[in-house]
Amino acid sequence: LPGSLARSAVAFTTLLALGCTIPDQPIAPSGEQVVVHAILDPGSRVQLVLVERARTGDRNAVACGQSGSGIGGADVSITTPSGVVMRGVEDTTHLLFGCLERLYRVPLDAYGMSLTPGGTYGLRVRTPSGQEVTGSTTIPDASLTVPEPPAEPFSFLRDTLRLQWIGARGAAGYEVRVDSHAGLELSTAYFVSDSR
Amino acid sequence: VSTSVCAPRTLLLFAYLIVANAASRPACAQATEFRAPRLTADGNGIAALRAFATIDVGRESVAQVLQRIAAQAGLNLTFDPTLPGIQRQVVIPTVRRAVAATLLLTLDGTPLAIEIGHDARLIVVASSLPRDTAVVVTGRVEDTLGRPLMGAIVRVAGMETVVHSTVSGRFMARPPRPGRSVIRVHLLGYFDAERTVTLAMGDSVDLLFRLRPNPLRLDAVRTEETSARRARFEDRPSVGTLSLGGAEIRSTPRFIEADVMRAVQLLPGVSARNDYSATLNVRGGESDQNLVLLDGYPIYNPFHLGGLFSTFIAPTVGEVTLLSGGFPAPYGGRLSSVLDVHSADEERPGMHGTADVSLLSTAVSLSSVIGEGAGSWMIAGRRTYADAVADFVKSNAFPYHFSDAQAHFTHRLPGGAQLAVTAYSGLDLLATDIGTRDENHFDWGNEVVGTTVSKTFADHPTLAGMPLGERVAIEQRLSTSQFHTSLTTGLSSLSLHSGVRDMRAAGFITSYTTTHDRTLGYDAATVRTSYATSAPVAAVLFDSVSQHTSVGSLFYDDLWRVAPTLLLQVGGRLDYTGGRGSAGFSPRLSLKYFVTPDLAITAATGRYVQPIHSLGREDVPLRLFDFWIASDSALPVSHAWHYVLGAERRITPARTLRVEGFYKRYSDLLDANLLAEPGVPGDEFVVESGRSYGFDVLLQQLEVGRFSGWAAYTYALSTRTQVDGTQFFPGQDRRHDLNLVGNWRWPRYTVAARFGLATGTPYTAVLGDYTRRHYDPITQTLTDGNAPDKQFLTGSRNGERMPLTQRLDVSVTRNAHVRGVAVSPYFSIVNLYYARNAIAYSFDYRTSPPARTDVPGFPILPSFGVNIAW
Repeated sequence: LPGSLARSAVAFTTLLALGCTIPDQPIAPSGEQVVVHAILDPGSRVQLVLVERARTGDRNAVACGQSGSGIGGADVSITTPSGVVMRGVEDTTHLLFGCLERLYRVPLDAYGMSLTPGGTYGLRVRTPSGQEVTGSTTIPDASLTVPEPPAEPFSFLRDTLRLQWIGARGAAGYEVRVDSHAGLELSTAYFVSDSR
Repeated sequence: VSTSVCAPRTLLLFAYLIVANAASRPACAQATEFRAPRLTADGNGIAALRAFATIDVGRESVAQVLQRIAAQAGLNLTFDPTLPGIQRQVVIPTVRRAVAATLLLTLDGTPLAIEIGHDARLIVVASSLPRDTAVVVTGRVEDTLGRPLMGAIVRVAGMETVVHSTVSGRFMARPPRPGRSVIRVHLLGYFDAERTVTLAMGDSVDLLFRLRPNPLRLDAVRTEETSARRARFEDRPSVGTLSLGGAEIRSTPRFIEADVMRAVQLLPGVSARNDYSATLNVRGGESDQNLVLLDGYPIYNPFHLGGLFSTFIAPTVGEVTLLSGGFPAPYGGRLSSVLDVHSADEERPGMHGTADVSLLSTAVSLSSVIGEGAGSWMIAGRRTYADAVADFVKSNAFPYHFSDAQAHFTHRLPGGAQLAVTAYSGLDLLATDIGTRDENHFDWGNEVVGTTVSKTFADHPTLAGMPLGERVAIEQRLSTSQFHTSLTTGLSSLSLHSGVRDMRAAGFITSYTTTHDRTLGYDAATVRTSYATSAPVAAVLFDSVSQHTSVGSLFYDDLWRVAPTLLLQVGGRLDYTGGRGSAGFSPRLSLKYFVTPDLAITAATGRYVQPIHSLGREDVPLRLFDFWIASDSALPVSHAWHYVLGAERRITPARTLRVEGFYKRYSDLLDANLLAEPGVPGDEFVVESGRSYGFDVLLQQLEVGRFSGWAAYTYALSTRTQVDGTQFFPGQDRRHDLNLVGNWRWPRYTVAARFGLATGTPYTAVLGDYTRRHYDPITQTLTDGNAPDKQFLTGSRNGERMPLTQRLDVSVTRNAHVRGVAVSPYFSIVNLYYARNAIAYSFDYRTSPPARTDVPGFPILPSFGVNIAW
């Protein structure tokens, strides 16, 4: 080969080698991450706390269906504004889409307590491996409103639904959900406090 | 002839004094004697006399015609209205010719002549002496067809001077003494002619010289003019300034077709986010910090197809100038850079055009000059046709196209002013219609219309008696520029409308003297921005913003040639932002010190403000376009300080090396607030500060031989700091960026290649995911809702880096001519050796171990097309 052509061939081959990368590759799992789903519902006598691992590639956190893997044996407690600590009881029978979930139920009746609108409640979750998650929230000073369903058939493509409710002090926003008679969620709207 | 310039009735009487451009000329100069030369057809080298003009005169007296010529051509002409023959009626055909020729034509056949005083003043004098005191030889020079020959040199033996024939071929000479005289006529391109006459005292003779053609073969003459680049190097500090000509842009390897923005991406200091983006990140800045100008008018989103192509039609571009930092006071409104795109001005007579046919689109342009250099025009259009091609296979299979139309027009106005008009319209359209109301319609595009009037006043103009300099240039611009986007999905379930409209007036006046170029200017605009989204069916709230604000600036800039080795450009800009009611002063300073004529040290500093921002997130690797929003009571004006230090070396007239280091400090940068509450105005942004520093190197070889090209390397480091003190690398932060661009020309083929090698940009790693549960207050259960809502757990912001990227693009062009038309088919390959570059990652945590998959950059992408130019 002439010198220049040989040099070009070497350069091209080098570039070709440099260009070879692997598009898909396994990566190391990240550490265990605890996810806590919890809500305070003043309309319910049992408060729910779901504790699970996020999917991080860890063999212990392989998902079941859409969910992560639940964490059993956790210490779950809700602290009332008056300082009463209500402990959650693990429900080992709860299935969601065929997957066992680690749901903790906090029975208010067992402590003779009710959730007070305007009150600030604390949540503490401690897993068997020692990870601890804490949080707090203030219940808006509002009551649940469930309007009567319309008397006539309602089509969301055609009809307009007008709703009104009493504003709650301290509420950041409202969620309005419209369900069909069959229980199918048709629409969920989120409103900020001054846009109702 | 001896005379005095203002003593009345000494030798000449001045009944009229017609003065134009009379700056700094005394009303009556001290009487001096001079020996005045006669006016010749070439204007005796005086610019005003050599200039071409169309003098519009009918049948008038010589005096009236002279006055008209003086007024129209701006001459200082003096004559005595009592001179014999000056009231004679003459007819001057309305033809465009040199002013000197018109003057001589006016006096042709009269006993008058024009002499030129030592101060370039023109004086009309009686041309003949009494017949009893001299001998006179008159005559006419013509070619063999009888056409008058102007400029022939008539030499009379014994005379110390020569005379020239006028436009009508006439001449008059006075032999020094009676007797035998030899008259020789010489004119380039003709054989000499000679006649001998014998005249007694007071005699005159009228001769006819008919010259035979004698074509001359001259040796080749090589002339060199200072190149524009060299002139820029010598005349201005030009810190951070780089230019690409239209030919250079079109000769870089193309991604399907030549693209201005993709060519600019290859310059030092500039980096691209990834293969799919034609946007610019200049010296660590965000992509909305670049002021893009089309003939001086701002254009807000000059991209098609999510930034894959720029809106500029390559054949319409004459030159692109990038100011990557430390730019002077006339530029403002953005923090990082200015990209000044100038339309090509046609200079060749006749109609010319180009047609660029590629796999993607066809672009056609037509251009021509107007009159004899009175102006030019150019129109161009481009449209993609992937949609039309796909329609052959299946109707509405690829319902997307984009198109551009551009026009550029320049014309010289009466009085020497220059008018320029530029109009651009571009549209991207994605529309699917399945025959019902279920239509998806998505369009976006730019419209720009602007006009500029400019005029230069030469010869020491004055204002109310105050001298303004040796020359003054005035320019006034008016423009409107808007970018809009509109998205409507089926049954109007989602609609999005956004836009920015900029109506602007700007102008400046520059005074040029030997040591200073002083510019005073302004820039005032009203900017309307709007952003509105609604989803009535889903009843989900989005932010909606509508703003109408005004921005204005006053600036002063002084380019001071302190010494032959030192240029200093100092100025400042007073910026006002109406929406926020704030004003601030931004000083600018740059200098260039010539260590040798070919080596200069440069430095610049300045403060820059940006009152218009983009809603786009720099962390997102692919952005369709930017939504613009103006500073107001809730959104601060962003600021930056630039510090630039560099050196520029002209290694040879065609080879340049430039190194510049930069440090930029930002404050009040706006970043998208990921926790913004929908429907709550004013929380869309969070405020950050930051800095960028590094250096860039350019080694450029201009086209003087077979090879031209450049090597550009940039080292940059950028960080941003959140309000809580957390630092992170912004998405555009790229540590090393190398671009090698080469162009090899042979008579039949041109080969262009570009190799890019760059370290990766940062990204935020995904460490895991989970499904967000929704609480149903009716059933009092936690569910996955109707559709699983996957949430990601992420690492620190931009805490990881993408790997090295590289790419080799090559194109080969066949240079051919068919009946005077340049036909250049080309074949190009992007990513010739298929480097698998990743622009982003997707993560899958459903398996153990988890997998990370590349979102790939360009694959091997061959394309071909043809450029036709005539």
